[in-house]
Amino acid sequence: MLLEVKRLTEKYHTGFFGQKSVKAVDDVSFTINEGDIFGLVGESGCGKSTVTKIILGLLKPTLGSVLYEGRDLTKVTRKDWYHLRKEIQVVFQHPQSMFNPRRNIYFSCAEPIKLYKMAHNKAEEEELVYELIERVGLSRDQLEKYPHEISGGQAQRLSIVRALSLNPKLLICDEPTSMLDVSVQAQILNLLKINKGHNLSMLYISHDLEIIRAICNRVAVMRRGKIVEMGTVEEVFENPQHEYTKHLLASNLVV
Amino acid sequence: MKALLQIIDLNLDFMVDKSRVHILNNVSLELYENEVLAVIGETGCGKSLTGNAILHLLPDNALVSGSIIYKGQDIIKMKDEEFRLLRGKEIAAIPQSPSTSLNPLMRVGNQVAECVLHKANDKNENDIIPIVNQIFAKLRLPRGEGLYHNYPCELSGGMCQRVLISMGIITNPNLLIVDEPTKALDWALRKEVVEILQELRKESGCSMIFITHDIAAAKYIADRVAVMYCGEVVETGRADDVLNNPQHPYTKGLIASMPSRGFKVMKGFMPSFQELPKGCRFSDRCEQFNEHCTKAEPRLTELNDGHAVKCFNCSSFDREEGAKLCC
Repeated sequence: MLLEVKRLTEKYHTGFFGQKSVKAVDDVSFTINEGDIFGLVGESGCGKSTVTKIILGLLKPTLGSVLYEGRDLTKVTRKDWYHLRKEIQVVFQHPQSMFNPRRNIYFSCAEPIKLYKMAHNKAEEEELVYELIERVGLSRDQLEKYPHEISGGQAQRLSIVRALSLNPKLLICDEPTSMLDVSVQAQILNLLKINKGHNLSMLYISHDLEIIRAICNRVAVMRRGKIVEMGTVEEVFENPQHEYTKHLLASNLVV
Repeated sequence: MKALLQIIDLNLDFMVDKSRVHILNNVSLELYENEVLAVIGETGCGKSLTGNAILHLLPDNALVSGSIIYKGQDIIKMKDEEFRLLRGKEIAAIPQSPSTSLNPLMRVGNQVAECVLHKANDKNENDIIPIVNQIFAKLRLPRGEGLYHNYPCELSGGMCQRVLISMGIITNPNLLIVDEPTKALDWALRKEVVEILQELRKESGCSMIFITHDIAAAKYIADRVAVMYCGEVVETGRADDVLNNPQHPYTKGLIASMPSRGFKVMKGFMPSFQELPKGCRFSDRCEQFNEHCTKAEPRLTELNDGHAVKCFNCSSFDREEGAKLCC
């Protein structure tokens, strides 16, 4: 078991004096085994992204714990996160927002290499960056460009390849293709699928059931902060139990 | 059936740094009365520009040639003042990205009412409020009459989208241009929005140009489909024909790249408009490429019954292979 999320609850306070509270995530538990691609489905605003933020340590949960290889991620110090971040990487929805808009692509690609001291000298660093962009199909002269000058698909592929370059054990994908075209989406999904065998586990968040069906092996359906159904992809798609899952599957537009 | 809108050889160039960049290349489309035409293609292929050309909403550095004939009149040659009487009244648009298309500082009801205020002078503001509320109710927007006084930030993405739809339909237009209505909407909402549009079309009998990259949504709503690539229409025909039996290599690739079809990747990327390949614009990515492709530009040729394809290889097309790809 790589990741175990136990009874996670997150309360947000709203209203003028903060007297109202909303449970964004309500008693959520699931586990991700090694090599799993775990899908998390649900409508917008159901708390999918809050779960990722808690796993990444960007938010403290009100209750519950996240165990990563037996360690509670909600209690890890900032110093230890330096080592953990190498193992837990993330890809967000907006590709351009993954990069520093004021630094060029080369800087952004070299950043993890510098941070984790993967290269001994400048030439070695350049070699690693070239290797990285080759996998994405960018040419070397594009390294001087800034994030807004490359296309969304290129930026998204680059952010995935950059995340994978650290050989993480867990990759969290938060709707990586919802802003992209079908043809570009296919490139991204293939990139993820190629890495499926390499001892990599994934938490894939999406509202697109077709994608979940195509790449995941287990899936959880979320609604209003709660997990309403969980199981293998075959079970959930072939024989949905909960009303909401049935509703979601029924709103599929068939081609 | 009578053609409501006819686009004939529409060419569009932009002046960028004193050089001319050719974007739309001989786009020809027809839209009949009470029909939905879906225009599908990737980001940056010129779908939205075609829509904006119909609406006279192009930037100043655009050079347009060709003709767009709406009810016998050429709208390209019309002056902006003349066209303004048509736009919003007979030709309406539903813009993309609901979150940014609404004025954040204005109540949503007033924004919708504004569409008719300056067109029909005989109505004053108080008469319009019930009409707006009626439309909101028809689109199944919650909160009843209270919604009129809400600001866009108080609504969800799907509700904003429906407010935009009501702005498009309040004048009962004959032609509605819908730009990416399902983008960034989640699964259940997407179906709801498409169903609303489908109902509207049945009720009011307006024609629609449905600009999208969502192939499933296009198939659900459209009668006919036009596939665009790099500023050209590469394939057009009845929705069933084009999407179930695609002929152009690009359409085939696009359909094969859907997750439910095993997300097969097309090689290469869409070229930039400044470095287009010679001859056929798809030639550098095409699997059926032969020498002929770079020598001349293919023409949109009709295969059968309105199904037209812009490719040299399609006359010698292997039908069995096409059938395999689709199933």
